[in-house]
Amino acid sequence: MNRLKDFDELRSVAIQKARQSGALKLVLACAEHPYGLKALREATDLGMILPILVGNADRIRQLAEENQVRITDFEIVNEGQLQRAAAESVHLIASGQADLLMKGKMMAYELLEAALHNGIGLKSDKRLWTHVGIFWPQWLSRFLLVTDGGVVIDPKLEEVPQIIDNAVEVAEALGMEKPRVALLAAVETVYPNMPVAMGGAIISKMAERGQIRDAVVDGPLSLDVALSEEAAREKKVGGEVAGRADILVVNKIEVGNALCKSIFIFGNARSAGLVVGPKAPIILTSRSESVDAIINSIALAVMMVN
Amino acid sequence: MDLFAKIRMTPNTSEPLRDWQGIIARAQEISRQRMRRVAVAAAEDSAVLQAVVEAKAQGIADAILIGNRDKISRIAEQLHLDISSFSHKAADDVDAAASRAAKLAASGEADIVMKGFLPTSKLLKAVLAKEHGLKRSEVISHCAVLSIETYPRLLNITDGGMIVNPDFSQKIKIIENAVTVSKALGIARPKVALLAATDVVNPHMPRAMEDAVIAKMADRGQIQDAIVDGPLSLDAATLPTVAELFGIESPVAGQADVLVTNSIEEGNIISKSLILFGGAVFCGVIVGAAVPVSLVSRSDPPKNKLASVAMAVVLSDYLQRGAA
Repeated sequence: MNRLKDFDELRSVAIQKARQSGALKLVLACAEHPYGLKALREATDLGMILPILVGNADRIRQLAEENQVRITDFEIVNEGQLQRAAAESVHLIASGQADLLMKGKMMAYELLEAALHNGIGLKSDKRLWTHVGIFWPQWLSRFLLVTDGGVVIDPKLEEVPQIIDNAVEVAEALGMEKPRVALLAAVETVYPNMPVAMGGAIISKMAERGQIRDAVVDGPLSLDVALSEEAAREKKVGGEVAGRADILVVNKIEVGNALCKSIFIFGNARSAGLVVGPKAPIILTSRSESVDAIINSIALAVMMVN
Repeated sequence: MDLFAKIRMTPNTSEPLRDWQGIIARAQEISRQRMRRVAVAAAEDSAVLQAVVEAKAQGIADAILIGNRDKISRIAEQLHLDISSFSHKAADDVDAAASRAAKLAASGEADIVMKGFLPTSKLLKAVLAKEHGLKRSEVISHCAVLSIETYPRLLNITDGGMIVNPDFSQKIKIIENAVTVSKALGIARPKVALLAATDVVNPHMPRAMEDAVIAKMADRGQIQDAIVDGPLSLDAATLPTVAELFGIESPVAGQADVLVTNSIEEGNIISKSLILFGGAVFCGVIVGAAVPVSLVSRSDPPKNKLASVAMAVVLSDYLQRGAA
């Protein structure tokens, strides 16, 4: 597969795939979520999914009506209590009755906890679940992935290869072969008083020795050097990643979270968000992302499911 | 193309400055009263020479070039820069240049110290040397003041340039330094957001808990002249609609003037993201000494360099008025 150009192309290949192998059943956990309902309506009409809404049925119907979203053809599982709704949603996936899980009106950790505790069938061979933010910023006019700004708070050095591996899986679904991974720091120079830069150096050496496969990894790199060929040239940083990174790996959740938000808020970028690691990715966008971002995430999840 | 067309409008000084053009206009106004002077330590540096030549042409500041005169002239010649109107001070090496710049600042001959071709650490060591009496705060930190078209106020991000991993008490000093910078920009009580990944106090997130403690300290009046709140995530801090939609009760939410980050990586990456993706104009300044320490980098576009010098002029004026 070639590199997908943009989210429109991603949607069209996802629609094609769903047409061939059938629409996937998608569970919206805590479906009292107007934006989520709007997105599911569109994704359903595009033929990608068949939604199952879990939550307070009356409230869901009321919200749908207020927001003029038709949900008469959606299956609803009535469960008003948040923890039980989360558990029931996970159970639908674990038991094979549904394929994809999406976060509704709840905190991310509430759904992830439910998935980890109740969802035996959700777990795959991945040791770590991580969040990947996917962006198409005007300035770059190509896909850019950021990880992890949503799940792992303080990744340990030994967890970084797994974080990269999960993001590579997303990159591959976007048609990238051997994506270029930048380990972000404040600097390009390895300063002994900057642990993050030291960590970047260690991980990139691990990758050189073949300990991280299917990706080209380099770090430490600052954001401008990772993304701008001009900055890479000016600061005389060589290598295959500088100026052309596909995946940005950050050292802490705050950094990733704020980086993702800065890209879609101030960079006017279309976006998507997934938690990778479970058998099927979980659709998890930030509260201030758009309906468009949810549909993009669904399309990407469709491409990642076998 | 007249990049500076907007600048020439007369600024209203009682109003908070809202964009980089406002910072430049304010600096010009200050230098019309008395031309401010920048002592450039180790001026053998193309980016710095470009910055001071343009700053002088725009009436923002004059400069004193410290370093090897021949080398400086050669670089200026290569870039077709006219440096004949600047005064020169000879210095044989970077240490001598740094200490000369600090002396000029201590004696009042210079208002601002600017980093040339030498490590920041060497320059700061010279500026903070006891003999000069230029130490003002326990912590020297960096503020990146960003002017973003889609945000109605200047956004002051700290610290993405100096302190690698600030501890609790350093973080307080970083906030105080940033409040000084924002006050210099005309914001009487800046709204300070302690940036985190969530707005809830999650006991699994040590930095978010630290933010909660600092916010409470500010409530109790332990941080002066600022409204401080945290933990706040970037969307809650900068988008009024998010605060409203998600019921985040905070006097800072949606209208932050200052974003305080937990590490140099966080501050650096967010500033750069806003510059790259958001087209922000950047003014950087090092704060904590009695004079601003200004630095520009080769990769800064011309308006960032100019705005950084202007920021230093505005801060210098504020610090001098405070001392008077």
